Amino acid sequence: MDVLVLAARDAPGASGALVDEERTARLVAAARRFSGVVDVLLPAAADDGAARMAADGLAALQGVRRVWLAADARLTGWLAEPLAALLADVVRCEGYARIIGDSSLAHRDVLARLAGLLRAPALTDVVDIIDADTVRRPMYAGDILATVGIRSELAVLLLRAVAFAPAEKIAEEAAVEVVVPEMPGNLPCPVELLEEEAGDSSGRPDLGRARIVLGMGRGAMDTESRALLLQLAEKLGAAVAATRAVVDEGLAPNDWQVGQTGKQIAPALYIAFGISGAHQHLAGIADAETIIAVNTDADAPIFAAADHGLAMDARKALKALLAELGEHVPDE
Amino acid sequence: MIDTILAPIRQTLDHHVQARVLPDGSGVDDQGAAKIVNPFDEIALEAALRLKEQGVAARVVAAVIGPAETEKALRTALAMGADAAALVEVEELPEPPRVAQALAALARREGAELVIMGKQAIDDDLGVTAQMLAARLGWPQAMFAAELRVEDGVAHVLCEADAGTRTLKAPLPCVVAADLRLAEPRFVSLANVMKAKRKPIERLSAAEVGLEVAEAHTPLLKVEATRRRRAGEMLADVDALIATLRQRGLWPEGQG
Ligand SMILES: Cc1cc2nc3c(=O)[nH]c(=O)nc-3n(C[C@H](O)[C@H](O)[C@H](O)COP(=O)(O)OP(=O)(O)OC[C@H]3O[C@@H](n4cnc5c(N)ncnc54)[C@H](O)[C@@H]3O)c2cc1C
Repeated sequence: MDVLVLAARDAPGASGALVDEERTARLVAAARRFSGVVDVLLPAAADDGAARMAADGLAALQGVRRVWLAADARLTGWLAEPLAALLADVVRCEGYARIIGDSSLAHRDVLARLAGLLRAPALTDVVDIIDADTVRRPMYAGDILATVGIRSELAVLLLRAVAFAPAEKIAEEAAVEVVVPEMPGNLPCPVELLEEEAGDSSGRPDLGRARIVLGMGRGAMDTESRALLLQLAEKLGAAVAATRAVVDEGLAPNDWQVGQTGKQIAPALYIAFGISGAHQHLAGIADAETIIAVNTDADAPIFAAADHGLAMDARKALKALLAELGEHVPDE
Repeated sequence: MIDTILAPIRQTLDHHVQARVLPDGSGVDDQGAAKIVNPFDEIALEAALRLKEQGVAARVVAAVIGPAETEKALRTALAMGADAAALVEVEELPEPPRVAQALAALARREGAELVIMGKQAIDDDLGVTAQMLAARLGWPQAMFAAELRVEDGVAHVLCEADAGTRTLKAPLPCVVAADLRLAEPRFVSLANVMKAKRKPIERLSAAEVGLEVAEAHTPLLKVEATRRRRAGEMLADVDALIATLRQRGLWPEGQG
């Protein structure tokens, strides 16, 4: 079965790159399980040096047959209407049977619309590909793991990229051809992108890629704890996550939310500060290698879902950790 | 002023209830379990009602495609302030492409110029129906909306993004999918609940919105409960925590 992979979009402003190569490598490795050709499509605003560099990087991934570099000003900002229309054209012409993306908002926006155009089913949050017609995905905030059959010729699959090991890079430069497809004249562009605001990560690593993530819950959102937590994150080179409760309070931006309706992360270490452990939150951290919880309530459900627990005030724990790292922290 | 906003809603298992697997693993046992309006659809409906209250739209129509028992969700929508309600009665909830097809037919039938619905349902967690509907209708879409303003036939939407936000300008008619911050659903008074019981609900057959019986394209083959339990070993103090991190190579060395 031939597969078209949509390149993973890099967060605008994060690195200036067009594409998240590591995440795309995971999609490519997963796509190879369909034992057909694997092509990757990279949207870009123009056929320039940056686009060529990104495309060449993808063309060096093991298992890729071809990279489509779709360069057109109308694709700026990955707006769903023109990009889905273009993808539908490419899919129909080339006869791909599976279209693969990740579960990011950018891909959900575009690829579920593509499924609508193609009258094809779309499955999100796929964590396992059993065979070409069977996948697994969580449901009900991750309380349930479902095995789902695919009984249609064409299907759109949005994978949880962290669940798949990345394809290797087999060359320093493009190993296969990069093709710039002819762009249809009539791409629909009804929507205007007025602004794309990258958000503030203050130089912290991306939540999806960080080795260590510190989680902020209601028990650690007071001004002092919050500042200590951010300080510790900086010291450890960690990313910061938040529960929905903290986002609702306006004390964390929406893109920090981890859980059923936020991001799903898979760091080597997740430390939850002042988080109760609602299943909607646990849905986002199930793939963390090690989970440590700090909570004053020894009966908090988070402890049962953690590898290690510390029944302690979050602020005090943060201070002690920082002190151990030689950081100056104000005394009680 | 626009005439009609369509607010499609889904009924889902109450999020306070742990989903239970049927003994044969064929699905989730929701018999007799508490049901609610999908929280994201409730947010969407609230946003639609506010547009009406601002004088942007003349009426809000809530719609459900689902089994007879989902009428309850429509009663909630009417109690919140929806002007009309439509129920497309089907035995089982169709898959998203067919829900989108039925909603497209409903949107045309109602003369809707704006559809506002949740970005995902919290049971199947798919999150694809709004986009499919927009594609079906050939309308623009604004997904993951956090703020919405409608002016002179244009929706100005602040959308959540993977990092930060995006500001879109989408001409009507269009489909907007609600994210958390879009609106806080209002409290429904008992008086309004009682009044809603007497409001009419338009009942449509599946055929009237072009739905035929079809084989499932993505059948649920098996479901299992996820195991989330971990060791939960309690540590005595911060020193023990640091020792644990050191052991796993997760603590910066050469410091402290
Ligand atoms: C449809 C839906 C979707 C949702 N999606 C998500 C989602 O994606 N992500 C998400 O996170 N939530 C989500 N939620 C919300 C979720 O149900 C919980 O309400 C939320 O995760 C709770 O956040 P919390 O743990 O910060 O707050 P609480 O549940 O209030 O817990 C605070 C904890 O802090 C502890 N504490 C208090 N003081 C201290 C202190 N000084 N030191 C240490 N500990 C302290 C308390 O003992 C308590 O355990 C969703 C809910 C719904 C209905």
